[in-house]
Amino acid sequence: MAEPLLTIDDLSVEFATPRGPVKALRRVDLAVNPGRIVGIVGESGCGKSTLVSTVMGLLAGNAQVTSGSIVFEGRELQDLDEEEWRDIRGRRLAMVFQDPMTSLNPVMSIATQMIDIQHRDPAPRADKLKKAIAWLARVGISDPEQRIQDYPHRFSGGMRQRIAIAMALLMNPALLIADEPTTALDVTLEAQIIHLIRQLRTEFDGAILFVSHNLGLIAEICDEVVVMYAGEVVEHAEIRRLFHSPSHPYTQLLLTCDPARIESEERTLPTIGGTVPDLANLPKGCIFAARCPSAFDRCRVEAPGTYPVADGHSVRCFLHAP
Amino acid sequence: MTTADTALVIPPRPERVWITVLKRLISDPLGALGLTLVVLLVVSALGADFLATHDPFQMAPRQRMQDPSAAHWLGTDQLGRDVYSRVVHGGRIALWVSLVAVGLSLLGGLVLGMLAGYGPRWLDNLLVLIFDSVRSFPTIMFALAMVTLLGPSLSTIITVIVVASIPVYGRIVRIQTLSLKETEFVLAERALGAGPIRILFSHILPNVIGPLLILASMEIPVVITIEAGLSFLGLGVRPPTPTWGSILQDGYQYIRDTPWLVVSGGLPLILTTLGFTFLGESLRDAFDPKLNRH
Amino acid sequence: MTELLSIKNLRVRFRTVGFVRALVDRIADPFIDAVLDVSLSVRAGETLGLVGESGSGKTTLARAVLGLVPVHSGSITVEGKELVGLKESEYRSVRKSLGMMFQDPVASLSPRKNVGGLLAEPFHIHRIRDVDIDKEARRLLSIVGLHDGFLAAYAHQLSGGQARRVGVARTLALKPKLIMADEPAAGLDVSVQGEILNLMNELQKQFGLSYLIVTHNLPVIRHVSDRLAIMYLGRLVEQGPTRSLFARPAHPYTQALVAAVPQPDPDKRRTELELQGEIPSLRRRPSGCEFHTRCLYAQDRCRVEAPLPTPLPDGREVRCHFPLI
Repeated sequence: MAEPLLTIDDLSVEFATPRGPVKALRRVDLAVNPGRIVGIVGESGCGKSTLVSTVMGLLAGNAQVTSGSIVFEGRELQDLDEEEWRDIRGRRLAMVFQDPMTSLNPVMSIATQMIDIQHRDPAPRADKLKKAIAWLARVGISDPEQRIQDYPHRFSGGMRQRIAIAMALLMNPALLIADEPTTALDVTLEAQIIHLIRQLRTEFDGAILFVSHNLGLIAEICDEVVVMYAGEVVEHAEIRRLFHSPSHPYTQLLLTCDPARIESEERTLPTIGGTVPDLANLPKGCIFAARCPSAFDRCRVEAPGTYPVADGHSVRCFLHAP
Repeated sequence: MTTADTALVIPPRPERVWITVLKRLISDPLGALGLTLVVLLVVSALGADFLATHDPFQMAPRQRMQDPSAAHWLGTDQLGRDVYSRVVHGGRIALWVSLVAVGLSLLGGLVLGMLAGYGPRWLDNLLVLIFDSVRSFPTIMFALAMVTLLGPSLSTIITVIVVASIPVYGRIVRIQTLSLKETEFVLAERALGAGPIRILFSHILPNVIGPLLILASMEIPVVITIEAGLSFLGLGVRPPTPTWGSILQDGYQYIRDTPWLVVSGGLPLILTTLGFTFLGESLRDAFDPKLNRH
Repeated sequence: MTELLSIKNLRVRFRTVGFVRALVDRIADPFIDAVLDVSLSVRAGETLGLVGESGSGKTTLARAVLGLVPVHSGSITVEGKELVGLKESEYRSVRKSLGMMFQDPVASLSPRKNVGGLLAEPFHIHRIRDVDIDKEARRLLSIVGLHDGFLAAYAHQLSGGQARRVGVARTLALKPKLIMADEPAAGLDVSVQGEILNLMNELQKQFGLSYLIVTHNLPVIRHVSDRLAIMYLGRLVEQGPTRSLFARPAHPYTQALVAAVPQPDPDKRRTELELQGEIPSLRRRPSGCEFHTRCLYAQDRCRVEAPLPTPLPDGREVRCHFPLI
């Protein structure tokens, strides 16, 4: 069994705010093995963006890791200094954002940017340009030799995201983090990008951490899924098990609420009543207890641990406590 | 009806904006200083009649060019008039001129700017053309021309300043109006059937006025200085009216006899300009919700 | 069944470059057609979904109905009254029958007014004096499930869901017959989007409202609409009962849209890609049938000749030379 590429162990992150500390992540465990596509699914406030920022070392100034470790390729990421981070980012660890313009510098041509990424490679510039052009072709940009000289604003949103993906994969990173990469795109373009990611699996054998709130997308490409709620990991399972035998009440409710899963046309759509708890003012006990239809007394007093349901399937819920 | 999210988290009655602003202002040393100076000016202007020790116009040739003394706190000028009293009354004039000038400019700029921003394209183009033309005309030349036409007086000065300032405010208001015009809530109001007048006054104006007022407060010392400058050049208010500029002018002529006239004319100008500038900048910072300096 | 809203051959153009620039750059046609030859109708008590991607013109169409953008040609009638060509003052009274829910709920509420003021505004705008405005405001709040405490709140103090409800309440103030909703579920988590949609549904039953919902969210619109109209590059390519459109799409674009929706079931992964390429620019419309550049079934005729709307069984209409059914 290969060593996991990324191991997040008991990670907790807190933000300092005028209202007091906001516990954005609490005791998060996550492991990504080489070559796997791991999905993180959750709704607003679940902490998936915070998690991604922490892994990339891009947390805001008022955020602090209060416990836990993040080990990537054997190195503890919290111990890295700026120099070491620059070595990793772009080369071993790459990211695609929701807004492609986060990755693209508007005042530099694509060619310049893609060559720049390869700056640690001692190869001559011409080779780097060729490699960049090849990648543009692979992600479906037509006429890449010409278009590579263009500036980002000359490309449409869908094309920009393809370019962002090409830039991320250029150095063949061990781990690609995709944070809601298609949320800003129309549904037909979204389908194209997902299709592209699947096609690229033949060329890119790194692992992917795919973050989304869209269960459909998760089902399309992930091998395994982590479900997050209000800063905690509530369930982790292989893709089929998650969709066919969800164990955590939140996951179950989430699936019933997804309109794409409801077969017959229903005028009234199901919802999960209540609201996400205030992370500055956490309730006692299980984080989901207030909204959980299966909650019992123990849930409101004591916070559950993570219990196994099956092989590779674990859940943070007393219903599965031994 | 099942309602989920009905918790309304309104923070306990937030303290009024003015109080927060005032607190922040006072905690900033320059702001506090500016506020003090401005208050001083206003008080002395309002209470000029009480604070003056003599009649500013009263001439007493036998007491001319005296140094400061118990009787004349800042001495006397070349015609024996009490300088201190003249300065105090000069302050009132300075304040009056600047408030009127800035007030009228503000009003004009606001109305024309909103018209340009919200009205039809041709009107916008026309107004921008007018704004730019006026602004490209050198103020001094314009002032000279007006003085020649209308004769030197307070009203002339005010007219000059107003005409020169309206385009400045107008452009700012226009830009704000243009951007606010496209916001979703203005669109929503139009969808409800609100007419342009309602939208301009109820929705655009309140969002535009804040920064404009702060800008205006920074303009006041500028106007005071312009007035002083024009008076110094002899283009402003005619003697014997005691403006700081004319006191400076006298002081300049008689500098060899006594330095006190120049000091008396110049110092209040400096203090007032500094005061308003510190106040204006501190106000701008105090209003900015993003600067959390506590 | 009465037709509440009837749109015929609507065309909305926008100028892309100024007059002088067009002369200087020798741009022959400085206009783009955001909405081109669209005809549809909404009956009393029904919900029509207007579906399209970016550049489809769906939002422009909704705004044209409300008189927020100028119409080039065509007709829009509400309860039999023609809206095109109306002066602004005449439009005002029509606006009472038309409500609008905007996509960004917080941004559509004026930042300087509290909820009470916002709810009172429709009455002031239309000079309705013979109602107790305060009482009405409370009534409207209770209809959308918010308590009186909200009257004092300002837009920035509300959550997204609450702001949406206030928007709905404000829209209901003048008792409209037709409400246009622009992406009513946008930005809402799947677990809560039902709240606003269910509210809209209850209001429809309670007040006999009609809805024109503009959206690109297919899974949602499939459930909440009676009929669908699919737009592409400003034209209507297919319209008809929602159920049949999803079950058996007639237009290749509809089929591609439906197929493009990711299914939350790992056993239903799509292997084929239905739709290649990108939406063409409105400035350079393809010839013939404008969808031919991306259509899997395009033939020679499609490149040359623009199809006209063809009626199909079960109340459908499609703009295609070779419809799939």
